[in-house]
Amino acid sequence: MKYRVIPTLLTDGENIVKGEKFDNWRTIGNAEAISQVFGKRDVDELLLLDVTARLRKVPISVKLMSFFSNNLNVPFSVGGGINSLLDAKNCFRAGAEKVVLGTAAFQNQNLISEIADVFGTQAVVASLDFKEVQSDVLMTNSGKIKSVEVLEEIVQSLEKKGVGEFLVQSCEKDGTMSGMDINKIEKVRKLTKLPIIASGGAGSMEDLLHAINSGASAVAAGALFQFTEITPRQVGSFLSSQGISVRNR
Amino acid sequence: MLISVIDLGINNLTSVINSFSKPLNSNDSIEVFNSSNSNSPDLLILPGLGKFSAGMEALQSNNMNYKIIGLVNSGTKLVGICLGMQLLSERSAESPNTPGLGLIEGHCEKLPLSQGEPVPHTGWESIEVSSTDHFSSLSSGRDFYFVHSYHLVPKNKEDISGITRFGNDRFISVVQKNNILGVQFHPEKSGEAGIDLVSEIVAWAR
Repeated sequence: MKYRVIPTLLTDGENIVKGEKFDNWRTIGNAEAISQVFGKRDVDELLLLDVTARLRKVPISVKLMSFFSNNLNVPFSVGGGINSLLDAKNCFRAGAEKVVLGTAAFQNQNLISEIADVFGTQAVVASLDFKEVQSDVLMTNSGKIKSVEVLEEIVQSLEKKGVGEFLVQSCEKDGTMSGMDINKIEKVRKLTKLPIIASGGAGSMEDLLHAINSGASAVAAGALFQFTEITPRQVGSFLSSQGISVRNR
Repeated sequence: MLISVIDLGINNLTSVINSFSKPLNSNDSIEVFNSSNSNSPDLLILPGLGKFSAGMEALQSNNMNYKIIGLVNSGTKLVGICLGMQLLSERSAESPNTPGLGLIEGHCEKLPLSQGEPVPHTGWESIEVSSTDHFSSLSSGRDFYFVHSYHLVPKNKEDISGITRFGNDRFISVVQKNNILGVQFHPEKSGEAGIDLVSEIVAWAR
C-alpha cells in the first residue's frame, strides 16, 4: 500500500480554524474558499475535523462537507460529534469516504460495527487522542476529558468492532510544529496491523518521514501546510526521494 | 450528448456527477437515470458502493436492469465504477443467489486475505494495462483510488484491459468489451488522473 500525505483542516462548524494543543481555536479562513484551494492541490486525501461539534452537541455540518465534496476530486474523511448510524450516513451522503470516531469510539463501540456493516470497515477511523508524550493517557471530547481506557485494551476492542484505520493524535504536540510523538506511533504499530494515520506536531518533512519509518501508514499535518510554504505534493516527492512508496501522480 | 447516471440509492452521486460534468460543453447534459425517460443517453454511468445483492436489488426494483441491458445492446456506452463494474458480471461470491447483469462473462471473488494486505483494499494503485484503445490515462503509470473487497474475474481474456497489484497477487482492475467499460477504482476520487480518464470516457462516448 502507498504511504499517504494528508492535510488536516479543523473547523468550528463555520470557518476553518487552527489551534494549539487542542485549544485556542482561531479562524484562518473561509471553508468554501479553502476547499477550492485544496481541490486544486490534488492531495492524496484530506481530513476535516469539527473540533467544537462534540461540545455543541451536533454532528459535523453537512453544508461544510458539501463544499469539500463539490471541490475535491480525492477522498476525504470527516469527524466531530458523530453519535449515530444516521449521523454517519449523512456524512457518506454528503460525499465523505470515511468517518472519524473519537468520543463515540470510546463510549459507544457498537456504533463502529453498525457503520462497518453498512459501509465497510475501511469507512471507519478511530481516533486515539493522546494527552501527552509522557504517558499513554487517552482523551475524549476534543481533548477535554480524560478517558479511563487502557491503550492496549481499547485498540484491541476497537479492531474487533470493525475499525479499519487508527488516527493517532497528540494533544500536547498539536499545532506546535515541534516534532511528532514518535513513541506513540511505534506503540500503536505494535498493537495493530491496521493502517495508522500519524498526526500532531509535524514541523518539517523530516518529521513526517520519521513518523513513517516508525510505523505510520499515512501522515497528517495541519500547521505545516497552513503556516509554511511546504505543500503535500512536495512532501510526497521528498518521501519518494527517501525510498518511500507514495502515490504516482 | 446526454450522460445518465444510475442511482442505486446508496452511493453519493454528487462527486460522480461533478466529475462527469467537467468535460461537458453547453449542448451536453447530465441527469440521474430514470427508466421512464424517453431520451436515450449516449453514456450510462453505473457507480456503486456496498453489497452486490443490494446493488442488483436496486436495479431490479424499477426494472432498470432490463432497460440498461436494452440500451447497451443497442449501442449505448456504459461505464461501471467499483461495485458498478462487478454488477456487469454474471454473479459474485458476495451474494451467491443474486445474478448480475451478465454483460461481461465472468464472476466476482473476494480479494485474498493471504496477501497480508488489509481487505477492503483501500488506497492509490496504478494499472498495468494490457490493452487500451481509448484511454491513455490508464497506461500513464499514475495511480487511481481503490476501495473494494471483491474483484471481477472475467471469463474471456480479451475483455481484460487492466491489471493491478495486490500484495504479491494481482486482480483485474479494468475490463472493456465493445461499448462497455468497467473500472474497479473510483475515477471521481482519483485526482488529476481521474479527471483525465473521465475526459477520455466522455470523448469515447461522443
